[in-house]
Amino acid sequence: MNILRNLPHAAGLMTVGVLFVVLCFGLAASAKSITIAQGVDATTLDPHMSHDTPTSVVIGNIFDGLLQRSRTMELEPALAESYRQIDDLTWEFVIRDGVVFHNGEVFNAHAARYSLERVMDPNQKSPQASGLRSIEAIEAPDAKTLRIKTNAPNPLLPVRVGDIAMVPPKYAQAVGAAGFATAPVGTGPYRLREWLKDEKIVLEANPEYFQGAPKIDEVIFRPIPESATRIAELKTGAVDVIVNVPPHQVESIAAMKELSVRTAPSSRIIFIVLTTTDGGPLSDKRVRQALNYAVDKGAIIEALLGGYGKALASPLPSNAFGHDPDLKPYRYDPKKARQLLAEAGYPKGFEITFEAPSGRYLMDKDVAQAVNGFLQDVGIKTKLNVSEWGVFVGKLYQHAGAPMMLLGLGGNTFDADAYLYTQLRSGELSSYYSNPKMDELLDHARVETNPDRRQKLYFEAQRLALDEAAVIPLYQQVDIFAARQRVIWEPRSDEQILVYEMDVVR
Amino acid sequence: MNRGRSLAAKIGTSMGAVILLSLITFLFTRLSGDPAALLIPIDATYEELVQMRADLGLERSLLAQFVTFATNALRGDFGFSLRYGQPAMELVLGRVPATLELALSAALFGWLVAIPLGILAGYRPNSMWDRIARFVGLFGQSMPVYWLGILLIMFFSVRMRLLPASGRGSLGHLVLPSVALSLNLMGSVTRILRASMVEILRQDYIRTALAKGVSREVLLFKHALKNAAIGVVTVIGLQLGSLLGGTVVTETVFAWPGLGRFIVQSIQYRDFPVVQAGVLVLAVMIVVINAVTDLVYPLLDSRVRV
Repeated sequence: MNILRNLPHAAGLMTVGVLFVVLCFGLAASAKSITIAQGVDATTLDPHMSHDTPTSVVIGNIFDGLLQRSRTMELEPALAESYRQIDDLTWEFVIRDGVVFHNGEVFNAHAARYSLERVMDPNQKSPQASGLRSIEAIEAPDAKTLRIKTNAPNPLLPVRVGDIAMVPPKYAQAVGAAGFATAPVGTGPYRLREWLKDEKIVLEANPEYFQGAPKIDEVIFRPIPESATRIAELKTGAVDVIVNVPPHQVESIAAMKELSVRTAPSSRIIFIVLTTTDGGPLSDKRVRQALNYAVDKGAIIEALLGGYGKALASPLPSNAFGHDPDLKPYRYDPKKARQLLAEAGYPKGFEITFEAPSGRYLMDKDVAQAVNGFLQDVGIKTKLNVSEWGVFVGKLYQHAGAPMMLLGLGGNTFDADAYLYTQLRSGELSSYYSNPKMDELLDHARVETNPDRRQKLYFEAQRLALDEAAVIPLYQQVDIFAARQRVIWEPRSDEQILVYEMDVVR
Repeated sequence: MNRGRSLAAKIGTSMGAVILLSLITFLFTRLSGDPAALLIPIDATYEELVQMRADLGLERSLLAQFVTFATNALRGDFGFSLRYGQPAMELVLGRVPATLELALSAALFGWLVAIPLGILAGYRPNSMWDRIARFVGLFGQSMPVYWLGILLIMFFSVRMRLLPASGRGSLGHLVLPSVALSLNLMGSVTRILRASMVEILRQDYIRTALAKGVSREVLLFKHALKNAAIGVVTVIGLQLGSLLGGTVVTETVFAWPGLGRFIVQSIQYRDFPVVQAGVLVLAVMIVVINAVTDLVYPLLDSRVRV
């Protein structure tokens, strides 16, 4: 027996064999369920501790608030049957009867009060607490009535309160914050069955749901960070819905007849913060106007976003309350920009640093580079500084960054207050603008409870911001999703994926 | 006696390395950014930012923060994740099985191909097997994992519908990421083993043994392979270390719920407790692998002593 002579064959076979055996595993089965791929996993399933979109998307299927948004983003009743303003400082919500949590605990006004107070409790450290700052006291005189007193008139109270998820008091107290985060109990159309971190979250239908049993029995959320992999999984059929499709991949998906690209105007806007308060060149209104004339928004939207964007005149998306549709953005006019710079005493431009985050918003770095190019075209010597979000946001809040910063702003308030106040009210954490007239308008609008008068104030504020060129508004994003044809669903503007609104055809 | 003392010294050095690494991780994470800024909403006030920093204990001096961290860590308490609100060490240890599973299956697959291939190629230079080995060596070490991963998914999942493209669950899910991850180490082990075999088979003692009439099996496996194995064991030890921590790209492409991707995400969110616990776990695993590698040497070459 000469092993050695046979060795080459044996080892060769072994090599081939290993390769072969390894490739012969794996086949998946399907049930009446739907799989949704986001970029990252939820961080917590405690609805009061969520501070990112992928987390709130999952949570949105397990919990309800007192109010909800219709498909057109109107506030409508959910766990509250109705609400009304009693006087300037008092609001009353009528709580729905007969709703129970997934664990059988009864939902009533006391549970609602507990939920709101849980968010407001400093020990809870909820990132949503800032939205409830104006609340002075909450009363639940009986099981059906919830009364909220504010320290100042607050037209946004229904929006802020209506959005807070209702949690079962007894259960939440029994399991504690860390326990609730992995074993959530809500009133929503789905309840948690299984959560394998970074792998999948499995939800099952709650047949007792107060708006009727859901059509889809099982929902699986999978985190797939790489967009090419998300698209591949959609093509294989392992995944039914994917989020954040890069614009340049839209065509490859649209070309497959079993897939479709679905879009919704986002609440997210992208703009450039200008430091107007440090005495530098940007303190001159003419310079800020010149920057606005210098940037070709249309070209950026077409070339970098594949057309999925809408040019903005003010830092406010079209779907927010208070948005003035008649306002026209600065046109692209580099000649006018140069002329304004010359008038302001900078015929040869000036040097300035421009900072942008990388990987935070769709194509953020590329958009910043494009803006950089446009500014250099009119003679401004910009130095672009791209940093990772964790570094960027620290500088933004500490006012330690560059005089120009690329920023995105979104959320689910759909109200001018959430955008204009944070960006243009002097003294706010991320505001780099100061103008007494603007402060007056925004402060007044914040406590004006008459919607028409409030809208007028915001129209005026936007006109002022436009004339003052307080920021460089760029565009409102369009959220791009893709789904298999069998999924009956249209995306919403609030980034929520409510499986309750979906159905599948076999 | 002597052996015991050097073993103790080795353990001491390893512990020192782990402690030093913890200190460096602590310092670098603290200097890298402000987690409070990442945790508050954009409409927060300055007071809320300051409050958040105080709550996280970031207002205190670095030294005070480190003392707290170190004393708690010695008691096994690594604090709570800033993002997840869960115990940091628990979150990290929860990712270890997936990481070990992927690293070991990639390593086994790589070695199962590379070791026979390297021996054959070294034994019969310029044969067909040698050409295959040289191709594997070049391809494995030059192909970017990201690109390879996407190609594997496109072919085996999207086109052939043979294997799941991403995620974890069945054995099938393990195949593509393991193959993608293994190619680099497959390439280097093949190349090193081939080169060592070629080198050793030229040595005088091999010729002497051959002349003495030692059978070819004994010659190849006992005299040649055993000596060639020393270099390979070193490479394997290093590879295992990098497989455990350095699989971020593979884990991202294949959505594998492992430790590398988790730590990188935690760094992005300045989730200090998780980063510290994660780096510590990786460091301990690598120390253990190095120790095992060291213990294997004397089995292969009696001149080497632990």
